[in-house]
Amino acid sequence: MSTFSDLYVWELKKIWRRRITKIVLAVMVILSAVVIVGDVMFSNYEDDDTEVKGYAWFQQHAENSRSISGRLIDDDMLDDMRTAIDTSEQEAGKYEGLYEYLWGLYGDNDKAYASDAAGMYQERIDGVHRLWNFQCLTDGEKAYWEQKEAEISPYKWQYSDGLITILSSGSMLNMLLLFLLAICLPSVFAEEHTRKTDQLILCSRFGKQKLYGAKLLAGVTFGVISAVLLEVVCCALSLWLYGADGFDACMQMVGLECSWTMTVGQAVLMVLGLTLVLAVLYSVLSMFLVKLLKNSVAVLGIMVGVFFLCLIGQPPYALGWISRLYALLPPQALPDRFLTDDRLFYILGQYLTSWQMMFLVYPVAIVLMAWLGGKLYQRYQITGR
Amino acid sequence: MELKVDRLTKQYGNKITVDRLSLNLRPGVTGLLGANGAGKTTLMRMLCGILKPTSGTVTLDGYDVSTEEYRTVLGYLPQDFGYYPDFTGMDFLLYMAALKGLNRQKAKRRSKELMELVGLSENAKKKVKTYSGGMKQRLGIAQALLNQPKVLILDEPTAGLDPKERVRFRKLIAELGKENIVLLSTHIVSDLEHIADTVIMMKDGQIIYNGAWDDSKGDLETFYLAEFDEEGLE
Repeated sequence: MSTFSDLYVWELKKIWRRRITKIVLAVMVILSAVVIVGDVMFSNYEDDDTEVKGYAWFQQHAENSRSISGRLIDDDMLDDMRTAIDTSEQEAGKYEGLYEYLWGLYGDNDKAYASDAAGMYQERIDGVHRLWNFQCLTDGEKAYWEQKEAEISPYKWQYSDGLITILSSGSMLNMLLLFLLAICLPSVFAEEHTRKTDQLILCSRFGKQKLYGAKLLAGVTFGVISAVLLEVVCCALSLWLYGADGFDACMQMVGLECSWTMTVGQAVLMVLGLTLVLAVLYSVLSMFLVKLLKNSVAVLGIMVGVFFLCLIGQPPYALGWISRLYALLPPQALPDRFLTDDRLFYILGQYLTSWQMMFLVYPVAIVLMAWLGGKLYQRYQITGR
Repeated sequence: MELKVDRLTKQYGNKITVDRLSLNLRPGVTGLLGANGAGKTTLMRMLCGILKPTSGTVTLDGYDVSTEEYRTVLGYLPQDFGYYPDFTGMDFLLYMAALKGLNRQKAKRRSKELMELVGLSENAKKKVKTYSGGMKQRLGIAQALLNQPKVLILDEPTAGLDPKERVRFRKLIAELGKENIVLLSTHIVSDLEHIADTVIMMKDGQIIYNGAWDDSKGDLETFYLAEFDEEGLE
């Protein structure tokens, strides 16, 4: 084993040996599990005035939805829905999901019941156009999305609750990872100052360059392993509870106004990939900030503070580039936000969506912070004491 | 082998801690004496490359203090050295050995040797947080010797050691000084009297005495006390 890999293993051990690491990681894993299973395991639903356990209710709901899965949403299907509703409660149950989907579109029971396919798709596209105007899209951006929209309708009804649950858990994973890494990783560098081991390290042969790389890599490894662990928990529980159906379902099953042409399965893979990139970004950010501030509590305060600030406030869409750049901040990398964010970035003659930009910008930010962090680390001087 | 210090200066605002200090160190034990605030620790930190001088240079046979070549042959025991409480003594040495560039086999062998040398073999598997002050100090001495340094800088190495350990440690220093450059700072004059080939005294960032000391020059402690206000000494 080379010296670098020896140092890397030592740094991983140092991270893992801290009690706080194990405690916070365990709490985050439990939290992620509770969020996924909570609704199903710990709640009851009313069905014909009888109380049904959450799990049984979701199983029935899934069975109903699966029974009509794969059908094109057209006039025939909508006619069948009306017939079922008029026939019996049991038959109507099969179309419950579709009815809720239509209700979400119209916001009105009568319209949802009486809708025809052309009207439904027109209502959806009207909503999409309203969203574009609200988001102050340019003509170029509208033309880009018009092209995408032309590929979408008509689409099939497909049951994909398991994958949709994973997709929406991306927001939770983002938050849990930020907390976890902001708590556990600053100590990778801060500990050397608080324990006064920095003076031994910095005068050793590999203490200035190789150790920085080893520490950074160990921190990133911990971040990625944590992200994978949380993803495995989310995916396993979601697929166990709701099934793995609907990889090929269209994204309009997830968001009415979503204009993406990718499938739900592809979107899930994208969100899981983005979560891994976020894990690297948060790892490097927390280690960079601690070198800048020399205080791990300050790093935690800044990272969590900025996260909540991003959740609360958003600059108006009319601010153009400012609002677009704001949308690229890591705490904004939430699937429930960027699913319907149609603002685009025009780079080298191509339009890119916000999530595509995240895949470009975050690695650049990671490299930049790693480089700047290295400079700060090597310039550090032992004074005072 | 020669460690050259050329017009080394460290200034914090208006305060000059080390003032245009020049000296050449060759193999042997050099004792560094001075009251608190004389600039000993600042000088030693600059000699170890962990504190950048305001001006001046430190080189070992032409290698600047900032180079990896210099750090490869350097051993340093700071005055207030830190440790990882959840590491065992052996883990701590193995980690430091990796930092100093020793391969795994050599690191294990050398760590065992040094644990024995400083009398910590029986406690090698115990966590450092359970060690007494003296044991921690011995562990610090062991880590400084891991890479068989050609330049050994020891800032108050005998602090916390009991009289028996101090005698044992003095012998070790004297042995190391035969082939290597050893710079040793202390307040305890008796630690230097029998082993230092050269004595350097510092006051207000400047050298006030630099040379060999023998009995013909009288008692070192008397000279030392005469040069410094006794109240300033620990």
